[in-house]
Amino acid sequence: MRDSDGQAMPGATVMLNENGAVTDAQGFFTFKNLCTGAYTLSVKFVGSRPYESRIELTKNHQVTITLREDVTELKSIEVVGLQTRSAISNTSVSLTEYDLEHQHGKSLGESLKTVAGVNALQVGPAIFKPVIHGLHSQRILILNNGIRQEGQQWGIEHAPEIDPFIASEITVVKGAEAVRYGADAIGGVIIINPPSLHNKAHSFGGEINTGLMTNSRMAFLSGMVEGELSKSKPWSWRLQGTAKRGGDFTAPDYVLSNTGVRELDFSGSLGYKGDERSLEVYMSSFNSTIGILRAAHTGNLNDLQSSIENGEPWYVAPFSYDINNPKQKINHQLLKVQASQKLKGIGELNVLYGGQYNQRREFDIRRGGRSDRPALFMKLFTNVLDVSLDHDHPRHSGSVGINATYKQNINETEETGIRPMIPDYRLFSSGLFLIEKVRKRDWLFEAGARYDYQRLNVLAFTTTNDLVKPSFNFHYLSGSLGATYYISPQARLNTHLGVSSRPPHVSELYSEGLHHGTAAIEEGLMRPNSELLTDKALIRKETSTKWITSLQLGGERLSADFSVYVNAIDNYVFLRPIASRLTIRGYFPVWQYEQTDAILKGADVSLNWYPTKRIKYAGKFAYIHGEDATRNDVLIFIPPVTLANALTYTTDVGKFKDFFVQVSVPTVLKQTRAPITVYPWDIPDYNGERVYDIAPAPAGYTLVNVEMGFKVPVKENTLSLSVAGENLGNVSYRNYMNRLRYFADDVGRTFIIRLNYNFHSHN
Amino acid sequence: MNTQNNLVTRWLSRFFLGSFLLATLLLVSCGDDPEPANEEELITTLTVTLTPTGGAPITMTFKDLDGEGAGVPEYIYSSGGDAAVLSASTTYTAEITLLNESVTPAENITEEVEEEADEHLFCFDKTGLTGLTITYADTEADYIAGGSTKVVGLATTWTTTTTGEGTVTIILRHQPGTKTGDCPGPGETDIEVTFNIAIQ
Repeated sequence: MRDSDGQAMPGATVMLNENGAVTDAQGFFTFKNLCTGAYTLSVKFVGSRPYESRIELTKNHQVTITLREDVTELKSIEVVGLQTRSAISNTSVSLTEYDLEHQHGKSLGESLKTVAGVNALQVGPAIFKPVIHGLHSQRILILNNGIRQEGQQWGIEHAPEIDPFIASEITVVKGAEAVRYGADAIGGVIIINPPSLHNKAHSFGGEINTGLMTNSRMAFLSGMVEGELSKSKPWSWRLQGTAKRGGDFTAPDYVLSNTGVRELDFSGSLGYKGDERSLEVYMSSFNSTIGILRAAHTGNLNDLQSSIENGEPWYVAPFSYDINNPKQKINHQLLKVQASQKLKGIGELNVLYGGQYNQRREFDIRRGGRSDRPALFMKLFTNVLDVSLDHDHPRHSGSVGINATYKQNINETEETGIRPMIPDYRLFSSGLFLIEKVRKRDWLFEAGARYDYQRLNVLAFTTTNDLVKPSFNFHYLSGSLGATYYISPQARLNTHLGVSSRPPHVSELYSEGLHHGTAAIEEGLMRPNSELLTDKALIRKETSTKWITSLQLGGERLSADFSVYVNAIDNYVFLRPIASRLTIRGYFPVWQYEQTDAILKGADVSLNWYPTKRIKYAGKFAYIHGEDATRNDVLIFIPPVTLANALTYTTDVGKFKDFFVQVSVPTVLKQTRAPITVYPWDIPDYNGERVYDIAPAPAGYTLVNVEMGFKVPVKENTLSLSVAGENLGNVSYRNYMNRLRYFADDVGRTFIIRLNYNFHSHN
Repeated sequence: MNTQNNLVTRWLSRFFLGSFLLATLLLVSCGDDPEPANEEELITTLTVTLTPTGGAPITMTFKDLDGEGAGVPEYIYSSGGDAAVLSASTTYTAEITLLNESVTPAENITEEVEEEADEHLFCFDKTGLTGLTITYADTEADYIAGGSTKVVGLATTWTTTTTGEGTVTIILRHQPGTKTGDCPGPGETDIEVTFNIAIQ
């Protein structure tokens, strides 16, 4: 293995299908005792572009790999390989193709829960919103194939509008990445990477994924084809599509009525990759309809109180594929154009444009034949332009760039006939950043700085329907410092300090009215008690100072990742139940956005150990301690302690390759640091200052999941089959992070069968 | 080097031009002010008209013009004060009317409830009024052709015996597809208003 200067590269991780090796001091690696057949050889290394190639093995085979350096991507601070054996990652963790295969059929947010330190804010069995180290929504940036996802991220029932089947790898960056990406990334970044369009040894190929799930009787089918336009020119293309349909999920004791899902997604890309320049055009369309548990649609405090007291949903109907109101229909269209050009002696210029259109319609149970009309109808248009100049030398590397975003949010109130929750707004933001990394012997130092400007125009109505148009200019700064010490080729210690700030989002400032998805009146920071404030002096920036340190081991038998972090957030924005209000519908809970000084501390551990070649133990643990420093109290909606233990046995049985059996036992403990409980009925009489929740935190639980599968070669291609059973004990449980815990139990036992077929041809 | 730079410039300018053309296409209706929502479904006002046999009607009204806004709702009793004053040993026919007064002219919501009588049910909860009986005086069939005999509650009969003071809470349950005719039944609450009653 060599770098682009022809120097040997020790310590790089080489994967041949699921087998891993690390290059020695001279850059050599060896795989012995292999069977003949087709293999995928991939390499990942700090500061290098990932390399992937398909090889046919018939006899002894020697390959020389030249890795191209790359500091433009976050990859430069992570080494991935297969997480099971060789993962050495910085503050990031990746889900590989192998990990993702075991999550097929699940939503993006649910798949991400398998990463230590990542949770999900849930609304029922189909809506999962990622939470990284306790932070979510406006604080998490999702990079969908290089482009920042601009959807409606404000509500807890708004999950990312992304088809997880597009990804061959998902990386979660847990450190603050605000320097490169701006305020959206204050809590972390989720990077969704499709497989590379290029670097393929075949000229035509593809993949089919399909599966069935017993609980919800869901079926999914996803297909992808890709190829070269011509043998002589470096143009490649890919088409991909996913269809999914599921009905009501079932808890152990009852049907969770109206929790069905329907989804239809397409994407296509076309790319050119020359030695000096590259171009990629990518389009995707995401369309889904999701039912919200019928029983979660409550009226006033009395309805809410009886739901909590009964402990069972008040509406249970026989299983159905029908999705009735309340439901949401989401469409997300994306267009990306990305180009890069090498500039001699300077580096590489990258230009990225993205256009996105997000349409969200929420349907409610309404009177007078209006149920076919959405109760909320928002259109969000976003244009993003990112330009960066990346330089890359053996000793130092870095990036300087600007980005500009223009967003426009429009409510279709004529269609809804309901005052909108979030006002119309226009947002222009731009940022300038500089990141530099220096390598010195066993050390890697990193420093970055960023300046952001934001102009926000809000078009809000007072309660008497007068239009008010406040506009704001915000200026804010972010910075980061980091160091990595390579203790040995298999171990490194990394520490990173990031300071980042952001002004509150429009939803946090100007939400007003009844949030139908949550049956609560919500009020933003600038709309206390329905007033409409416009004074900029009242807006306080949220500033996060996060220090994260991790130790990573990537040995043959044992790989591990220990991280500890402290995040002190000034003016932390959060939503809490605060009062009740008398309306003609009776008393309603009022939730207000509020700011406080918060401290989040925590630790994540993930461990993979091979006691023998065939047996693997994987353990994960995550703990977060949230504290409201101003009130000297706990924080609301902080994920409880989670741990997971899994044992896998792998073997080859005749023609069946990689036959495996896995038993995994995830455990979620009770959130002992939950706020005090004030039941809905008691809210009108509660005068205390403490933050409260309307129901106590549910008890902890342990589930048992079993999965087995194998691969069969079909000529040159591979067919994989697996069967999984989740929650085998059919345990009734509720999760603290699931909003529907007030109304119903979580999903019961389910069996999933998955089939994957990989095909390719060399023409 | 020069030709390369030229190429770069040409290529970049094309790229930017293309991007901005796309951007223009994607941007719509910039600069238009939004119109306020016409909240036609809102119920702002509930009035109960109690007519004694051969006597003058008494009304009690709950009015909240700003819906979920923080404005404090109003209670209006035709007999003045903060309670509706009924006479002992009297039979009243009671009628509920619902209005949306946030729009001009005010919209009659009672009609909507009548049209969907099979999805709606009024419930009446009393506290401290042993001398008052409330009975239903309508069924779905009164409003919908071929409707069932399940009660609705837009029309009721209030019969008083002894004197006393207390409250009556009027609850409108919205039960599309799940109405049984029994209170409170499934569904959600569309109205919940509590009136003070004095029987003298």
